[in-house]
Amino acid sequence: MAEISVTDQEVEDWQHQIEDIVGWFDQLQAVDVSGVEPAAIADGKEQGSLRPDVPRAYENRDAIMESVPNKERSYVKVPKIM
Amino acid sequence: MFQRRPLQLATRLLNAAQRHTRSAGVQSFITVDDDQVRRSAADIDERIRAGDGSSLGPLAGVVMGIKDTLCTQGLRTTAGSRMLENYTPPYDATSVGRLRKADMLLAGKCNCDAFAMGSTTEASDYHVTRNPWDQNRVPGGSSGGSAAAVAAGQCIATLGSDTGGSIRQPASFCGVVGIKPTYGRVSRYGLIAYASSLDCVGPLARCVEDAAAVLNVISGHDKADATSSTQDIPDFTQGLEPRESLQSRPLQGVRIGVVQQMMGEGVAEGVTAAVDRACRHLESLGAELLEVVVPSLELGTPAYYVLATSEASSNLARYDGIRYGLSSAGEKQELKALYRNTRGTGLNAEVKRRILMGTHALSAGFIDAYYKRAQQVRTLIRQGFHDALQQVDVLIGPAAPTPAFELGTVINDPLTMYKNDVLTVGLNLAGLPAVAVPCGFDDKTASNPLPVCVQIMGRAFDEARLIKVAHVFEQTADFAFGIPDSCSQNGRI
Repeated sequence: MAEISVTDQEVEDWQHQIEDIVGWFDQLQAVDVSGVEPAAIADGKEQGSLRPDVPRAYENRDAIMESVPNKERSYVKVPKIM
Repeated sequence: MFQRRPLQLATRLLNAAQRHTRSAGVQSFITVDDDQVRRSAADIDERIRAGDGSSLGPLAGVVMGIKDTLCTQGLRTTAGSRMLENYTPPYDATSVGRLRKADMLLAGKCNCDAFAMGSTTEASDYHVTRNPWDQNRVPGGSSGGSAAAVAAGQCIATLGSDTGGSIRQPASFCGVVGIKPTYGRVSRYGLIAYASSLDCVGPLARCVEDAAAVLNVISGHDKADATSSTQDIPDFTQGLEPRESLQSRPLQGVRIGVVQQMMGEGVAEGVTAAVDRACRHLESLGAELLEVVVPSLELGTPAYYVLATSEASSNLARYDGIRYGLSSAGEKQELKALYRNTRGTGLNAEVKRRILMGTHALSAGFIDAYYKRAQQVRTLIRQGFHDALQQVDVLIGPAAPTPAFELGTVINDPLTMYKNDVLTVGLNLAGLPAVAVPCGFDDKTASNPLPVCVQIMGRAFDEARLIKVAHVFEQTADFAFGIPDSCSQNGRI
């Protein structure tokens, strides 16, 4: 799901590390959270408001295209999908 | 902070930066913008000579470094990762744009752990930054380059970012001032995202007043960041009196809560002793000290790492080899291979581990057990800080449980490294502000004493009060400050 290639050596090196960390996360299971609302964002009365989703044209298109690793004319080039 | 002779100062600081960029030095920077800073400094010099000084901004001639997680238009921005080795942003982060408008001189981009994931700056893909107090030790992280640049006298101030302590811990390791503002006080626009509900941009500087002057400039609402605050911005430098103007008990009436969970087990003896001494000093200045417990604080570290890695797994999905950054499909010219190979080769071990853990925590079947539960614990911690701050005006505790680590001691042991964040992450979960200010040294008798900071924490948007308390402390606590030998030849700045 993460779309990351990992080597056999990485799997070997990280297996125990990640197991230990996930095991450490498990202490959260012992906490009594009944009736507690989850908090997605930090404190603040006014925060978390969504702005209207209004599209706007970005003036500096050339600079954005400059960063594209593979392109053809003004198009972004990707490997064959279908 | 206004500098009368910026070119002379910029040249001196750049020389210091260049000296420390060499392999044997502190190596605070990934990129130094030598020509541009000299040109800008000469321009400001000229404007002052021409009698046009009144048009200059409040940071005119102030040489600053910017953490490499903040976008700088026309200046390479790598986030400490090979993934962005050749990335030059087409725009400035809002905080950087505001500093430019205030006429700061941008010296360059400070080293950091890749994508701000780390506590030592050893997880930078470029080089290891060394602690100016002892070059066998780390400067902390992830804003280690920003803290080291100030401590080594290469910059007057720098910007860092603090997702779980990444300003306060390196400030402590390097003996400089760091401010982690309230979440939303400073726009995150142009900050390369790690964990968006926790990330904060803030200043590091040699003294409280300089850090406050930078905070003045970078604070405020930004329509490009929906979570940035519309709260009024006070002048954070107002009322910061020099020592000779202070009354004998300038903190009379201030109630300070010493967080009990931050003073016991797991905190090095030398750190506790330095913070104890700072507390006695604050008492002598008239403050009333109370022992306070922040309920649920100890649950902060696992909850933080569940949430931060989950958000990171989503935020870092953008590094796919298509729109910018590294692109490497390997032998198979297929889309999935492009994603996997680009990410597999362009992201370092620490970043990949965190993305994998975050992906696991968000996956169907686990999301309630990890992500949702961590959010519920976040509510408990937020409530815990709220309750504690009902009893007192500010809270105090060490900014890090130990002085600077020796190089190589925690980089291969991620869980130990994560547990060391215990004193800082809770505040990020609650979104509250803190000022880290040097309070002394772990062992004065050692040949290489290492600096220690206290963090003064407070209510949302109450930075001005924290800055005042930190400033009074700084002005009166001679025992708390020093300059590393390695930069004494640069003079006090």
